[in-house]
Amino acid sequence: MSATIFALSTPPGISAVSIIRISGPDTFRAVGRLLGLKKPCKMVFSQLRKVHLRKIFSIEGRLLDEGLVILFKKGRSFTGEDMAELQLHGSHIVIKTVLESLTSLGYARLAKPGEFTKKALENNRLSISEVEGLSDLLVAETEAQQEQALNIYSGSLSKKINSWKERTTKILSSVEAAIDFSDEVNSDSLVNGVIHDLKILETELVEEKEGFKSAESIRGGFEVALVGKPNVGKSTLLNGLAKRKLAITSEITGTTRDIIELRYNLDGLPVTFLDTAGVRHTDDEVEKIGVSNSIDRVNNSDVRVFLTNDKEEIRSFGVKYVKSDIVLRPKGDLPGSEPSISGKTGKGFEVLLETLKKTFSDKVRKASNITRTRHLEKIISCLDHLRTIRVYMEEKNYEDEIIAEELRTILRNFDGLLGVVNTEEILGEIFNSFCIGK
Amino acid sequence: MKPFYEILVVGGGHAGTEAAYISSKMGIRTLLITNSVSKIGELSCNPAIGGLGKGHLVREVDALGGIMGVVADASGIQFRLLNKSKGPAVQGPRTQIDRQEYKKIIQKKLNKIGLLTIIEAEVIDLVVKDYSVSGVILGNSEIIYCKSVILTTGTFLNGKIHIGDKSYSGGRSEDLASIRLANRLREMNLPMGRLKTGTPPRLDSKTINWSILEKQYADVKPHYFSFSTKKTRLKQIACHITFTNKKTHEIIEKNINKSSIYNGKILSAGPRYCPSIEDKVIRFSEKESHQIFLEPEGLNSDVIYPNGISTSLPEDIQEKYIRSIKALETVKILKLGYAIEYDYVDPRSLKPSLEMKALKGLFLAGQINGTTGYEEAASQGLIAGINSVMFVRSNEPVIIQRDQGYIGVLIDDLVTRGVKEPYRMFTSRAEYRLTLRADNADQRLTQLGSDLGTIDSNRNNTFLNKISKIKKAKSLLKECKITPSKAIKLGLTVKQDGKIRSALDFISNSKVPLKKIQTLWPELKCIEKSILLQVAHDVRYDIYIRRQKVEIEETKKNSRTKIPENFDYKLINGLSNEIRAKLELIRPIDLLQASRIDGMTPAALTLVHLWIKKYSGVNRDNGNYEQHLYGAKSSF
Repeated sequence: MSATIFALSTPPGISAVSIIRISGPDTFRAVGRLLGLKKPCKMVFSQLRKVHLRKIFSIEGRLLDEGLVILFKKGRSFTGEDMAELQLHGSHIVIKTVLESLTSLGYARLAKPGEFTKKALENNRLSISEVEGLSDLLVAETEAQQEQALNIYSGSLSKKINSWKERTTKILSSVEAAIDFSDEVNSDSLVNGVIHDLKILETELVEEKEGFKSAESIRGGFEVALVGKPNVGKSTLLNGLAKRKLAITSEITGTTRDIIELRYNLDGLPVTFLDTAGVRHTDDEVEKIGVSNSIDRVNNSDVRVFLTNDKEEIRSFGVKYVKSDIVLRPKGDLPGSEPSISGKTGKGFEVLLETLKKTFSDKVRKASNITRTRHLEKIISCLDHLRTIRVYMEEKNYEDEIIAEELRTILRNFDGLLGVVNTEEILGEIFNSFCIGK
Repeated sequence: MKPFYEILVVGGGHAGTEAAYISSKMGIRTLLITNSVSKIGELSCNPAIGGLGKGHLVREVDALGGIMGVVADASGIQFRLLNKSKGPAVQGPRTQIDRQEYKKIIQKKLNKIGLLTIIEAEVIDLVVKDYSVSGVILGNSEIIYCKSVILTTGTFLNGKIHIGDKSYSGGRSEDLASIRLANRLREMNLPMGRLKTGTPPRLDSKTINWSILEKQYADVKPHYFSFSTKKTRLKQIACHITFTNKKTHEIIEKNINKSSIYNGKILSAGPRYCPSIEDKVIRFSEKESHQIFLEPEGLNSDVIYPNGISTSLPEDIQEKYIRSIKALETVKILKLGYAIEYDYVDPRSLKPSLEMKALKGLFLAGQINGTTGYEEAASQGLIAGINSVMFVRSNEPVIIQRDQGYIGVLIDDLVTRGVKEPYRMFTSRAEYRLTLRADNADQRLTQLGSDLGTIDSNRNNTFLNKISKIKKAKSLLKECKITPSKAIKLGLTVKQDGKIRSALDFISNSKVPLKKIQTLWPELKCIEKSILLQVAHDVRYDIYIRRQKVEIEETKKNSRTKIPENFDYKLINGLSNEIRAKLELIRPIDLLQASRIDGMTPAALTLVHLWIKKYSGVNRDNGNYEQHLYGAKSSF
């Protein structure tokens, strides 16, 4: 039976309305629970394709939001299955809690990228022109483009996976030999033979996993650090952005000791502006800590906006400076060189925000490559299997065919990553070019 | 006019006997045509049946009502379960066979079947009309009509025997090759190739110094092939083990250029896993010694088969190197070893039913499909026999899936991937190895055999009885519960996690003796030992099998996407020529099979998938969009 899936179908971030879609046999049951109904009552089913204003509750009965609920019956929905759309307020907390509630039901899961479209295709619900559109993407275009579309992995990554695969195959083949040629291969010497290779593989996978963690953190949102000497007007700029008093601004040097954050919705992209403690040398102990904290945050930020009249001065701040960082002359309301910015008049805001948007959109496109999450999942799964093997071997409590089975599972994981075996998975890859919830 | 014989089986080896046996047993009038009636059921190479992977096949053949298991049990003279120290999934039953007995029993059994007729003749041609086979032509020009033909010609198609620099045409050491039939098949443009295999010299038992050799005995408790065999019929014997040595290797190395494989006479591929002694010495030069099993060919036979030293060296060298081996210093060679080259048909030209795609009603089984081994041949013979019956009756073919049996793995590998060397079964070829155990072949296939009518009701009832006993035993075992602390007190090894466990949990652990379980819970003493062991095997791999089940389900979802039989791969832009050619040759029945084709890329597979979806979409809309989609020229 097909799974019941759900996902946020609108871009994440702050917006007026966010839509959560649910599809699958248990859709109405799930919606019933969210509406706080003991059983999915008749009213729900009789009111298909009508819009209802309803309160949404968590599983424990806590009120989460009020929104519009639309139900679609099997055969008359986008996916061809029972479906629901919840139109909720576009707030982080609402989305998060509603998605969590759905997860905690136990019989529904978060959709994979493109899974709704895939269901629609499987149930023959996509019109021929839509299928055409999809296949245009793959068929009508040049072979090179097709390859590009399917070859999600950069050469270096697939090379890596292939080398893991090779290593695993090597280990597996000695285990298989001990099974199928037990007359000739001594299985007692097996452990010593493969344990070294197993260790190397594990180390490499752990490294890979750690690498992904940092890549993942980008997705939580982007940080923009405002950097400049004290009193250069950083807080005024932040206030200007927030259009309200958020940071304390004053003429006295060193007022802004802590890092002040402004969460900003840059056309759907979650961006946090950081007003850092003024970067300067100080003897004040408290301020020293503030300065050192500032430097760490600044270096970890995605983009730094340097407010300075003199590019040469940047080096003296002692923070990271990369090509994508932005340098602006502060107090742009006063005459001087360009580009400049003014927190007082709002001059230069548009240009700054446009530039940031462009930078981040590029990053989003790269980072939201969902296959990367899949990748991580598979690597974690491989590591689990490797650990199982290690425990078996250390306890000397194993049978060759069990070790082989674990290794085969690892190989299948790698194959899945390379897309070698499973077309469903490959199709899944293609649907990754759609967003989650589409 | 209705032909008198509906099915003709050409060849009386292990594929042919199995095919003829099953088709006649299923109620179809069958004619078996062989070059030599007295050699029906001959074990042409080693006098043993079973082994790892192979033993699994024989048990499956038996569960489906085939003949090999029963006859092997009745003629077994050294039953041994291989891999006893490993888990049940990779244990394989094997036995040495009394060659004469095997032949005698199988011939007797075949002669008893009313619907089966056996004649001695050479088949030189097929009667083909409209891409459909309707008979065979014999050497005396007689034509025999039929509805379906099963070709099981073994190594006889254009067989050529090599010993040193001598070579001559032959199908087996003293038998003629089938040259005219081979030439006809080539003329029909069937995709054919050449393979090589070999056999060691046979030795005179009376001239071997037995007393100094290490012995290998039969198991005390034999494991049979057939689920219906109850006891050992023949006396059990021991095999002896000897080894090659430095001197043996020197002799072979010095004369390597005289070997047919190394003097350029043989170019075709032989099996890598069953190398000739020449290959072993040259390719594994670091190894100073190779094991040789001295296997008697029967209880009353003086012929010894030295397993592990097949060769195509000339006569004098064969004698020289053999006599350098311990206990063989004065041995007499009864029959020389030789290499044999033969024609095979690229099995990718077969459907999974083993019917030729290009010729309706023609089925191929055994070595003609590029396999090696009695067990592999029997498995194909059985399936070809069943499907030939299905064909005659216009029924859907029977296809054993990869998750159902080794037979499924074998046939799918053949028709999808083809062969590059003689194909032999290994347990490592089965991705669902933990599910496909030799001990549960009956649980996997009896139902199918019963549906097909290939096993009798007696057998089926015994099976159903066993299943109900297993069920009862399982629920009994589940009811016996124990806390960890109590278990530890009673001497069971268990984690102190407060989790209450049942006797079933304990027997899944190979370290806990079944006897102990029955002592701890006397109420379990009523369970038969064999049933308890079966339950233990069934639950042994539970977590893995559950994981595999999920995988099987997912794979099945995949395989549901059938590829229309006449699907025009030319329609798909962007398929490479190489892959298109392979798809057109193999014509996979579904995406799953397509995915296993050598060199298949994810991109190509996805394209095929999308185009099938598109195709079914067109169907739904009654073809209204056909022109729009494919332009004016459409083959749908």
